[in-house]
Amino acid sequence: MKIECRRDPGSPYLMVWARLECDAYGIRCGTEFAIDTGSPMAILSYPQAVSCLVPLDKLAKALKPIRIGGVVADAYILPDVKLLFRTTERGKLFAHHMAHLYVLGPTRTQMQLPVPGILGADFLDQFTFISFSKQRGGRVFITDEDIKLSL
Amino acid sequence: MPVLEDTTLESEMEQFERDMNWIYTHYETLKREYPNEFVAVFNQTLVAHSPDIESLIASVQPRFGQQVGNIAIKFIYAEPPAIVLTPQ
Repeated sequence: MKIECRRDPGSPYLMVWARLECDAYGIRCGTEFAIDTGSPMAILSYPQAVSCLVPLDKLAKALKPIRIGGVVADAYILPDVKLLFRTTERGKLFAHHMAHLYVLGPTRTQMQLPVPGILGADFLDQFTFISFSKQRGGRVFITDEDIKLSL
Repeated sequence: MPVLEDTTLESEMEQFERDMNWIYTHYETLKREYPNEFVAVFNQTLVAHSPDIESLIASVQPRFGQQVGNIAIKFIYAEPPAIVLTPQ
């Protein structure tokens, strides 16, 4: 089964479209995440949190702030989160459960360009990347299929 | 891979993806008209734009209520950002 990634037309990021659900706070929200293979964990950005009506004032605060993209922000913990993804197989959604998802609060530093939410190793470790390359564009997928590589 | 089969949910997600795809397809036009602003698209129609995410959501929430979660929202970078994402 494969999930298609999208090349962001306005940034260098590779994006994945998803649906975020959290029953505890009634959150049901379409959103997009940038793929960040260098990040150990997924993070919901502040603009995503506002768009998804995440009640930051009701969430527990993480022990320390997070610095990302030159911005420092308090981090909050959204518990028991489900991320859903459409797959290349019609009618089949991939469901990823997270015991908690870090959510960025408003930035402490001077306002800069907003950073996207990211999916890190806690999500990506279960997948392999496949790129069908062309000179311009091409398509990129993440898959859980057993890909045999001889390097 | 944990798989879920839910046609209603998939239909909602498909609608969201059509709107997000509309933003991607019209990115150059949006960049000329709303650089460094958030745009909100529903049913492949621009429903709001603002440089400030709180203002954007405040403007669409009375009309969409809890459906706000189904609106495709994206920041339109005037120039490609040179931001290192990996958190510390």
